[in-house]
Amino acid sequence: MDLVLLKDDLVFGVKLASYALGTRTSMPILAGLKMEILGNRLRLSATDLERAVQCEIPAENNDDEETVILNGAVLSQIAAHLPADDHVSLKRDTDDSDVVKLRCGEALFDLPTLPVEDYPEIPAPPEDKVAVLAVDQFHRGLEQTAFAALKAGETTRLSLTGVDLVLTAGALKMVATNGYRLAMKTIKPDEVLAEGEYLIEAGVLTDLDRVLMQLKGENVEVYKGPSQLFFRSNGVTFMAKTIAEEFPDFDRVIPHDNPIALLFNRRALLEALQRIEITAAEESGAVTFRVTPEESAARINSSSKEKGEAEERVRLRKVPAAELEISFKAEYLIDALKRVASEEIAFQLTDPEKAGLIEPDGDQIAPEDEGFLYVCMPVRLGG
Amino acid sequence: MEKETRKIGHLDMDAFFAAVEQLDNPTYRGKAVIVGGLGPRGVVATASYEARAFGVGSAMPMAKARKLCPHAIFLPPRFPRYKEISDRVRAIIHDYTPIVEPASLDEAYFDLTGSERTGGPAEVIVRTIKARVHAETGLTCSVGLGPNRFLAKIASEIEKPDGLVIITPDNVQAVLDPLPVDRIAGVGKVTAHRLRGLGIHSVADLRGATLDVLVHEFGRYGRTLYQLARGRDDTPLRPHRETKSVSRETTFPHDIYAPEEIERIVRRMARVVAAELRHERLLGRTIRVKVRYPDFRTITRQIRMEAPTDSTYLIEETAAALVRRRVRIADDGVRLLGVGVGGITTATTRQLPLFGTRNDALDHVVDKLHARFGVEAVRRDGHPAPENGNESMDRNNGARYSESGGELG
Repeated sequence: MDLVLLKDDLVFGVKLASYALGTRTSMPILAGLKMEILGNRLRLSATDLERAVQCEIPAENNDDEETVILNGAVLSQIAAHLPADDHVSLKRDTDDSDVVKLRCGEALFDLPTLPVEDYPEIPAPPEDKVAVLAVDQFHRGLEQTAFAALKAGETTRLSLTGVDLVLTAGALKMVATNGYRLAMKTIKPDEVLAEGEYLIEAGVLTDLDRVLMQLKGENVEVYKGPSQLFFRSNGVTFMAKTIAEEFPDFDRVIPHDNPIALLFNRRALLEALQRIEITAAEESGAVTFRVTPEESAARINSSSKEKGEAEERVRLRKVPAAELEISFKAEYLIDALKRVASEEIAFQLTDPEKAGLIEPDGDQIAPEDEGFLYVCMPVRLGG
Repeated sequence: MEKETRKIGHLDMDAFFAAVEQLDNPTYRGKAVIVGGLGPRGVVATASYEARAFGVGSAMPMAKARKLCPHAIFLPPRFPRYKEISDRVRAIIHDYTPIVEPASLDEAYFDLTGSERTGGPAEVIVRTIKARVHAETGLTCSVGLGPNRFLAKIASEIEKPDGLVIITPDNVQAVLDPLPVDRIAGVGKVTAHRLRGLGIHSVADLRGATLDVLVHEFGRYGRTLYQLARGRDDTPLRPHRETKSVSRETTFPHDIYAPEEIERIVRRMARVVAAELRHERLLGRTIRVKVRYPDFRTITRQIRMEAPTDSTYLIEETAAALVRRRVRIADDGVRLLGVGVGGITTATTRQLPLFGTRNDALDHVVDKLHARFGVEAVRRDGHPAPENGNESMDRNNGARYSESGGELG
């Protein structure tokens, strides 16, 4: 092994690969960053078995093709602190074949290699292209849905840790729920080649999103594997394993024709909720909305024994159709309102025990809010 | 300023589980009756006085009890029946004071300090309570009255069974002094042994020890011992003891190996725990599974839910997933399994689920059936408990398990 790389290329490649590095102590090999020398290219890969990143950078290769595995976390730290020099060289130590010498300017590192034969095979991206998506839309879709899932590791209900991706002719629906609230975004793909439904852990998709943001590509191609999706953009491949569980039947719980529409200024409601949440009861986090057809304002309040009480009137653009008193966990509403850009939102309600629907509203719906809706179940407050 | 002397009562049913069995089945009367876990690892919950004459006592391994008293009638506990009588006894006490702190199924503390203005002297009220318990349940109990809960408990034990002892500030020392130190609540074998090492055998001896010596030997508990020896205890009664967790656990007569069986048992216990939550109108946020291996290593795995729940579906699936994914089942199997729900809140406030409606409806139906046909007993922390931690459950399926409640972990 005897390579010379542009420093910026290596820094870029290591950074991308680091999004998929494993941290499980039970499989120390997954902490490795795999480097395959292929002619005058260096392929960098990392995987934690749930996800994988693979990218290639140009290399001046002065030796045979071969593969080495170095500790990815160490390499990331080195990459972040390399001295001011344009090039980095990687050479196998002549005295100890289990060591790779990394040199940049005056800095020299001796890095031990990990056993290549222990490294799991990363599935090769198949040819089954299912869709092409615009990166900015996909990014916005993930931003507006992934937050609504449960965090993996904090639950045993795996299906609720994912974002469900439903590809149909002309549309990609992205849906996530924690069992109490649900976020859905529909975007229009550039191309749909095959319909299908894929459930992928929200955390994995968030990492994919970070990778895509680094790549600054316009499009991302989506390929289907037997139990994974592959996303390819600007020559970089991101593999995401699908969750082998059924996503709840979300269409059933999206309300239609809720009769009471509360039309709020988004920012006014968000800021009021952030204040009123302060005195919400610890376990429920509930705030209560009260509206009557006599008043074009919602009275929102919260109270708890320990923290006190808060009440605020928030203006409505129209008087509501009927009287209603309904409570929600403030956090759930704040989560959604923070991720909407439009000036106006509609909060559509039926009765104190039925789901509320939040949608961007008004004459000027922000383009980045197109296709977004949010469903939230109320909190029942007993006497 | 002189503090008002409190009037605290302690009522303790005599050989409760065994006495109920003798009450319900006249042929058992006058005979040695032993209630507890009947499997090879079972433990005696209660022995009738006839059995106690043979040296059988609570918490004794059932195998030993069988040796000491082979002719006894051995029975599994019937918690729903004990609970019924326990509730009746508590209702009687409630007629005289709202401040009742249940200590277990067969024990309760109560405060009569404020009752004297309307109900007459506490000394008379406790006699009435004792008489009514006998008249209305057919069972005897022992009652103690004292200026605090420590002395009330001591008093109820002195003349057991069917006793009534009143300790007043004037006779405290005369009653306490001759008692052996292990009669003090909290003084177990180890502490008693250490006290004997200091030459302390009776409460009178303990009173002779200086505060310095006791604190040096026992730390903060030394201070408590110093006070208790003088009959001082200002622990308040906690009439509304908060439930901290609802749980159920089972020690198996034989170690269990098959993962499917382990999961099946965990699922069943989870269903019972969920039903109990609903019965008590509580919700829980944390779901725990506890596993004890044959070498007594014990692990718990838990998950904090997104919102408090009482849903059988959620609790059962979560407990099953915990045991399936996060518990290593070694070749030598498991000895004990437990399922518990913590982070308890009252069900008056409830985050409604998006998808749970069908399951909730089913829960309701199952609960109704249980109410009609009975459900396995469950104990909760801070609530009625068997005399020791050994119960039997699953009377329908041939196998008998001994089990104990209690907080997991």
